[in-house]
Amino acid sequence: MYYTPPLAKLIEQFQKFPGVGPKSAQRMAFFVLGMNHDSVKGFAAALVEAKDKIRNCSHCFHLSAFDPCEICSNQKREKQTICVVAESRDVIALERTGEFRGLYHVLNGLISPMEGRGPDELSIRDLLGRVQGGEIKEIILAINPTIEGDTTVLYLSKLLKPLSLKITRIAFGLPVGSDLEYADDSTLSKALEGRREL
Amino acid sequence: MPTYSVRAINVGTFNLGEADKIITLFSAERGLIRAVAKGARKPGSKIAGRAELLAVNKLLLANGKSLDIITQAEGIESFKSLRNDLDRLSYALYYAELTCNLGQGLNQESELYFDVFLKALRQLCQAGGNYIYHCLNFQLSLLDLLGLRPELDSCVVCRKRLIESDLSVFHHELGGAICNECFSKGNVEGKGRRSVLHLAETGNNYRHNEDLSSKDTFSSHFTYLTPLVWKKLILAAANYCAPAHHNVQAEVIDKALVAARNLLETYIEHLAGKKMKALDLI
Repeated sequence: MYYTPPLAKLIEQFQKFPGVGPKSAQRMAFFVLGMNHDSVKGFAAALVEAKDKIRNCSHCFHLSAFDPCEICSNQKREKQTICVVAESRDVIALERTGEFRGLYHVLNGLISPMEGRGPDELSIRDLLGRVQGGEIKEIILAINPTIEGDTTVLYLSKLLKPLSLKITRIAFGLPVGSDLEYADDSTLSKALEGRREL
Repeated sequence: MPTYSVRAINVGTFNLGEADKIITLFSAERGLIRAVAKGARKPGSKIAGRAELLAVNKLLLANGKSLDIITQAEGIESFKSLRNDLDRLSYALYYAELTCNLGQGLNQESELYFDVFLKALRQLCQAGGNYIYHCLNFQLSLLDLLGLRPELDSCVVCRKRLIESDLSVFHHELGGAICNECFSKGNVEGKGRRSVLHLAETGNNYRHNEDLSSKDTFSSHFTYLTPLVWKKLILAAANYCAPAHHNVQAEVIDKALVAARNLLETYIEHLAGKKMKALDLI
């Protein structure tokens, strides 16, 4: 390809993003060249600022520019309930519902022997530390219903059960607007298991 | 695009892009395959449940440029009961981990290994089974099909038939047991690992609270072999499952079984050149 060096460098940088191939990187680079100077400066500054300021909250490990994060420092949140999630983006998904008013704990991954990730690589020890404070009454495990998720849930419940807390896991079943005919057997059986009386 | 169909067990999954997954499959027809499950991470995807680890499916795959693409999937078994018990799930993940790491060498015997793997997963689903024994049996079957079955009947150095009183170590490099004479002569070199059971049977420094499952790195060259562990290996190799004991000896026998499993685990890790992680969860 005959790209002038700064353009080649920009395309190369865009290609580092997940799911971005050479064609998409080229489209993005040309889009940036078409933007006005201030917008490009703002975009670059936003990248640097996010990288500089955002850290893991020392309490819940959620990504935030503050420590403790906005959720942990919010006095209106219920301090007796912790919702355990795998990633920071799961906190954002749950916050979007507006249904949960407690605190979170981000594990930063799931136990996956296939990817060489064991319990020591996650923030499980920190969760136990928070729970042993005595203020927590319920732990909600909002973890994906995959094999890795189930392994993590079983491991966590083994550690948390002796602490006589209420441990729950979010329900699984059919997504809203889906079709029964196309649901697989494990999803359907989970949906049947978790049925509710009307 | 030419297509082919296989019966396969999912032994590894990795995310690809926004919504796809790369799945490592062990198929009865072609051995280890890597294929793309398009849209498997989208909510409501028809293939999501079938793309899960340890699911057994009948698949239709289309030949792709670098990786094949899963075009249709029909579930055969999903082993739901494994998901309720950490021990059983850890064993199943260990089997998948072994298959992922050593499956390439099993392509010639794929049909046979597929049946062994499926049987092992079904055994784990049965409540109240002796999972340690089943694991030992699976490890031996895997080594057998790889052509790396450990030599337990004769000394791997002098070829003399082994007896209980003549045991010394199991040598990972040489792939078998060594007699006392060869070991004491210094015919073998390397660093070794003593299990608690070895210390117990030889009466040296036995500590009850020492963790039997703790292992050194896979780079240890040999493991001290005790008569009880040796017997457990011989019996498992002969496919004989001893009846459950309900006396004082039961605990020692269980420990011997765990030590035998750990020995083979270390041997396999030595062959694979990689530490397996799944059994650490137990």
